[in-house]
Amino acid sequence: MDEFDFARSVTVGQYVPGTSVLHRLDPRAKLAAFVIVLAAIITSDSYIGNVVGLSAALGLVALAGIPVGYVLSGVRPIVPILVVFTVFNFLFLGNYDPTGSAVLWRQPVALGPYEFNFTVTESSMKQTVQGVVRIIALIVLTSTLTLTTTITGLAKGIETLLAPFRRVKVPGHEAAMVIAIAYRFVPTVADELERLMKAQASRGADFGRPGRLRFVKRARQMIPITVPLFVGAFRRAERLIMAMESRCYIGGKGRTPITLPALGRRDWTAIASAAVFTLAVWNVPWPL
Amino acid sequence: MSEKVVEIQDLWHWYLRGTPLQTVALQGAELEIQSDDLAAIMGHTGSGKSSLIQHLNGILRPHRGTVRVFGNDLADPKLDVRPLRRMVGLVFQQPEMQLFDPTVGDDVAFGPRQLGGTPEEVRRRVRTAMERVGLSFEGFKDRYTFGLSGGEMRRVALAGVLALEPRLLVLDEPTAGLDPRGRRQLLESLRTIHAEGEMAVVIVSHDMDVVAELARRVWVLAGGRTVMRGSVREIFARVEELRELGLGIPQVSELAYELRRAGRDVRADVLTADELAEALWTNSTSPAA
Amino acid sequence: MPDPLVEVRGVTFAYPLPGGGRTIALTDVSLGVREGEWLAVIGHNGSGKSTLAKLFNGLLIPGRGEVIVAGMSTRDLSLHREIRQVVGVVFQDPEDQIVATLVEEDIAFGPENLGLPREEVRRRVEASIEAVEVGELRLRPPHQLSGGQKQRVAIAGVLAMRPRCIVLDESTAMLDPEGRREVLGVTRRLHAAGTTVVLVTHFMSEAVLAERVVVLAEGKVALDGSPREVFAQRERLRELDLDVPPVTAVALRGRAAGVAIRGLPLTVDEFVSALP
Repeated sequence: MDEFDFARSVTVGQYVPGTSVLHRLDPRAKLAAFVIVLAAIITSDSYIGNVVGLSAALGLVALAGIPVGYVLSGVRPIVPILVVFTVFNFLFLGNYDPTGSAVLWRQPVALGPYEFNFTVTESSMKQTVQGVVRIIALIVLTSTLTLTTTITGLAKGIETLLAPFRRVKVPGHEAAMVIAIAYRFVPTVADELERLMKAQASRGADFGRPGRLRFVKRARQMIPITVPLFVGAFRRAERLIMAMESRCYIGGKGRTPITLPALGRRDWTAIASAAVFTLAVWNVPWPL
Repeated sequence: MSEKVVEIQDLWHWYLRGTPLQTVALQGAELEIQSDDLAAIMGHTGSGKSSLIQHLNGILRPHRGTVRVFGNDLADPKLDVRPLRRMVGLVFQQPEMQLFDPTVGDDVAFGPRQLGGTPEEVRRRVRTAMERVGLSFEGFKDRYTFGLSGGEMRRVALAGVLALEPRLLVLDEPTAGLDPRGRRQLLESLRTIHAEGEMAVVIVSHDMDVVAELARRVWVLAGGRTVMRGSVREIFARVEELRELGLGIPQVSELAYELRRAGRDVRADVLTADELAEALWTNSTSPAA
Repeated sequence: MPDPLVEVRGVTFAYPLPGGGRTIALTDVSLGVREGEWLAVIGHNGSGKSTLAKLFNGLLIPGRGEVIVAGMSTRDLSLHREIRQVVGVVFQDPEDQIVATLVEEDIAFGPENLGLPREEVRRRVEASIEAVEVGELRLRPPHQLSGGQKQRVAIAGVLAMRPRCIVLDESTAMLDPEGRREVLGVTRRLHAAGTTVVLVTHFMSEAVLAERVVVLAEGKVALDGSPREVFAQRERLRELDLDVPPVTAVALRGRAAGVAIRGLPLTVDEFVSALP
């Protein structure tokens, strides 16, 4: 009955206070470890290697003291996309196999004047499965990062890590600022969205029953929501820029540098553990 | 011949019910609206006034208590609220933010088109609604929506709701952000709409001067409950109570009150500067200007 | 007579319109703001008052004429950093001025932009928090604050730049009465401590708090004087579609009826003591 009450759903992926080991690590250590473990997950070429990567990611969730189900619920929204991705790759990727691996299954198909094949090769099968596992592992790993680190911590971590690259024009501060501002406005935009939906519903707008798959119609029905949201976002950005310029904001140049306390033993241990893990995943001769 | 169109008794509603962030928005609120009412709901931010009016067209449903609007029982889970949204037109705060069609006429026509009328019917509703808010149909129907001034955009948004031809019009802070001229024009439009449109008009406002200028009956909410109700004159004469609730009063009412406290004999229930001047200076030797 | 802190000299400003053409917001406007003064600028939407506010700190540059802030012209872009440390502007929308995720971080934004050492940034943040009394809110995210609280945080953010003059561009327009009281209370305290205040508003009840009132109409200065001088001209104000505070209207009617009212009351208290 409370059809407009969705402030609660805005909490997915946001910081959950806690006292776990992960919560207490310096954000730079977490970011570095995140990138290193991510490398393991994305580049490992064995089935078992990928599963080990996913398990490690889930293990980190447990270590953070967060219910695994909560994190996996962040995967649910993309399940339809994953299904489509998997089905298409499964059926067609084998047609473009440059490694010439063994063909496991082939089915010629004729649709009117067009003829093509569904093909599954060893290589395409592996790529399809790995793709799914990697995406899930990526989401779990990213969630673990954002659930255990405040946005301020993340922004400062990113800015400090990228600071040395300032001279080669890497906009570390600006990137951190963009992330922080986007995050800061999430609750504000959520409120605006709720008000907008109520206002348009009061004019007789019908947003359709959830679950129907008529994407085009749904997209058109959302115009009374999407257009005002975007127009509002632009107006908001204009006002924000004026306020920021009035306080002398000109980008990262000349700003007081962000200082974080020095990395401690725990932080270096985390980074080292991540490195060891990744090297292991790369070098262990997994049977599969 | 007026009849009761809204009856709310002992209404309770919680925000984010069932989550750890649950808070009570209304705890036993009451409201009654007659078909020819021109009423105002006053109260602090957080008094529950926005939650209260969102029950009137079914955006929110009662968690406890009765809400009856045009004979519909809002507590009935089987109730289809969509017909109710044609009878009750709810205009939110800063309604100009909800405009989406690049052409004014088409944006106003959104509601009527959802109702499924013939093109002539839609056109008639749009024309009437626009004229009622002071936007000439021919002059504005093809204009670019986002190029209008803030005040004009607000009137377009109001027309969009009027085009549904509701029997009860509810507006949340209709004059917020408007300058004195815009405010005056809007209040005039609302008076015209009430008279010609034969609809009840209810505003929610924290601007005492707007309430004093427009409303005939006033309901005061505090802490999710209805704490005062009566005619506008009665309510604004109760200065002590309003002050205790942290609400402001029209400057004229405050002046009358302070004059009485200083020993002057003057009516307590004045609302405008002219009325107070009459009350004070009618016994002077020179004729009033 | 010392030079004014901010001087507007013969300023004309026009906004470009989409699709060609321009709309003129200000025509040949001149006025000066003295150090320590409290000036109220009133007028309708479209009178040019918000344009004027943005000209004060160089967000807009005049088409014709000059705006001189503490001897610096806003036409010189290289001076904008200095100028914006003399004049701070608080805008109308409480939401869209707060940039950071926590109150105390947002107040630090300005000083950080100036590249001040950490210790100095911390000092200024503390002083600003105290000045606007948001101590218990320092670790809150902005969306949990009321409108009045957000505007006070915005003022604190501007105060951290240590400006000599604060411009409030309709800063109370979107607030409820309580929020408005909070903001005006802070403004009064700041003015009492020596800050120059320019209050741009369309509320007559706010204009009476000022030492001087300038009425803008259609891009030109229509009236300029003390609140009492300006509000005595009810006819002229009505021509401009404005009016006087209700108590003043009652007093003017009394005067016209021959009653001996002392002075021109602008507030309820003044009225009560002004009656014979």
